[in-house]
Amino acid sequence: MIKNYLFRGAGATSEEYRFTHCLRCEAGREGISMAITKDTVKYVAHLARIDLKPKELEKLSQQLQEILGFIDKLKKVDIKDIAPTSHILPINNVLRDDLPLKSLSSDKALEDAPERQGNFFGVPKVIE
Amino acid sequence: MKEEPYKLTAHELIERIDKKETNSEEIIGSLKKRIKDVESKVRAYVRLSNSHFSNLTHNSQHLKPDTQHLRPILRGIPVSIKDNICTQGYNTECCSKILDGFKPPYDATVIRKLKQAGATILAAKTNMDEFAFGSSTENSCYGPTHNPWDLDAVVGGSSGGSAAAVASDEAILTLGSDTGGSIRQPASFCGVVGLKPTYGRVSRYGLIAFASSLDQIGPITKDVRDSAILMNVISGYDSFDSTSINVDVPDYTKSLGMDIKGIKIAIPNEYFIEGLDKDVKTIVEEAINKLKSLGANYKSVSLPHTQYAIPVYYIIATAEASSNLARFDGVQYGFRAEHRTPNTEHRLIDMYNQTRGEGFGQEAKRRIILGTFVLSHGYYDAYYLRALKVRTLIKQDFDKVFTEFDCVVTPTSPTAAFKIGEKIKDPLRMYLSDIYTISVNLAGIPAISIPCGFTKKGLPVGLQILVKPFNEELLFKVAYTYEQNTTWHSMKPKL
Repeated sequence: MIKNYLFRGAGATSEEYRFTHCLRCEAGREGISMAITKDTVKYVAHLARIDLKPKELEKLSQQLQEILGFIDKLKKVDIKDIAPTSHILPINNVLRDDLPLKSLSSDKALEDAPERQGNFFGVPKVIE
Repeated sequence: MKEEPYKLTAHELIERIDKKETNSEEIIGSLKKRIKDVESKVRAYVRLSNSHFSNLTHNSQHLKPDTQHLRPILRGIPVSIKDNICTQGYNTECCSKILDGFKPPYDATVIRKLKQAGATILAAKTNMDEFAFGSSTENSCYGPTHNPWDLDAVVGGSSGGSAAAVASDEAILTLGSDTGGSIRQPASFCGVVGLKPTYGRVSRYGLIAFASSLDQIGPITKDVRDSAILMNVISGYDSFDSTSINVDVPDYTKSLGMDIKGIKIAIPNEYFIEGLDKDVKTIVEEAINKLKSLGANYKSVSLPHTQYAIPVYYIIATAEASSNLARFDGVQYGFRAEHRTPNTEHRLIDMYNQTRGEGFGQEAKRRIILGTFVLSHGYYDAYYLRALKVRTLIKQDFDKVFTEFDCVVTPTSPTAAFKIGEKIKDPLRMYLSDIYTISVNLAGIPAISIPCGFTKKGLPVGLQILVKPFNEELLFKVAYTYEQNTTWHSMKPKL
């Protein structure tokens, strides 16, 4: 089961889990191709932590609908027994020796901080 | 020296520097003057201070060259860099509001290599589509770059600024990045040479990531020899990039021979169908015949999954982008949105939502949301996983062709440069213009675009050559032979 894509700093709310369940039911009922409604876009924008103005939401929904319609042609491809390509190169598990190396100093890391508090990035409160 | 330095290629300048006919200060001075003269028309650079040009250069640190491939071969020649490649202490903003003011605390590996090779890195960066999302450089927060061949036309994208600067002689050498054609397509629109290396050939460390399994940094230059020189400098294994491959870097300039007799060229049927502009088709067919007259043989082949390349790309690339752009949240660097509703408590989540809502442009939002959608629960299998499988089929198409043929030749783009504003309102139409370049990134193979003619309206046309992974030597051989038997590369726009 693939988890909902969540961004660091904010956990999934109970609202998100409820919506997920509904989408899954609907996808199961109507088959894979579901129109990307304005509500879906609004929810995905929330997952992606992007505020959309009402006009943006409207326009984006139309455009994404069109794009997904075009993308749907992939359904025609016979992918039986085809392995997915996640890495185009035949290398994986690239590790280095477990030795301490030089890394960025706190000062350098905080140089561009919009708000610095001591050795920390200052941010607004995390409030449930 | 009679000619103005800004007009010359890097290899011509190196020759003259060695003969003491010029030096790096004179070259930089000449370039500054050229930029002053034409930049207001072209707008290839961003954050260029008009009055002083004081931020134009900074000194390259002449580090001790290591013993392997790096030697001070660039003699202080200036190199212009796309705005998504990190240069320590100098603004690198991906032409996006959300990275406003960002000064990287480190150099990208390619920048470190350029400095070791004696390059002067220009502090002013070249224009690009925001986060490399685009095919026209119209998605830059600074506005579009204008095509030196027709100032009302786009330069292509996303490395449009780099390509334009080379075409207008506002740069000697440039770097761009290519995820779906972003080096090759602007190179073709601007009549210059653009190369996308094999995936893993050039380190991505310090390239602000768009799609990690597709991105590559590459040279955009005035001619093929300059491209080979730059490739010598920037290629190679990097322990800081776990997707970089440990394969020796040959001296690419040694491939610039003249003999392509017996080279077997594959011409894919699916690239010569409806949608290809008639002018472009004629010009590319003439170029293929030219290659034949120089000793190569060609035959038609099929790359049957070509029609699925764009949907596959716009699923995989946007999915990867949605992940890579999650870091832009106002916490550590760049733009942070002001608290807009003073009577309510400002929560972290509001800061994220507002920063990203205000900081990202329209195309960025479109791609992040599409990418998030195709990865989300319930859609992952139908879209993302399916796309990964079709990607395998696309790669296999090329693998099959390369068992019988040395290279594939195609037009770089179905059209020459379109007008500014023509496609920007129709995202899907803009995406469809990537059709000939996109499969290359999906398959991880190297490709070059070289100028091969002009349309009736005087706009450049690019010829694209593709080879199997790590065979850039053949790419240079074929490209150089064609170039040296034609005069396209010496033609300049009237500015």
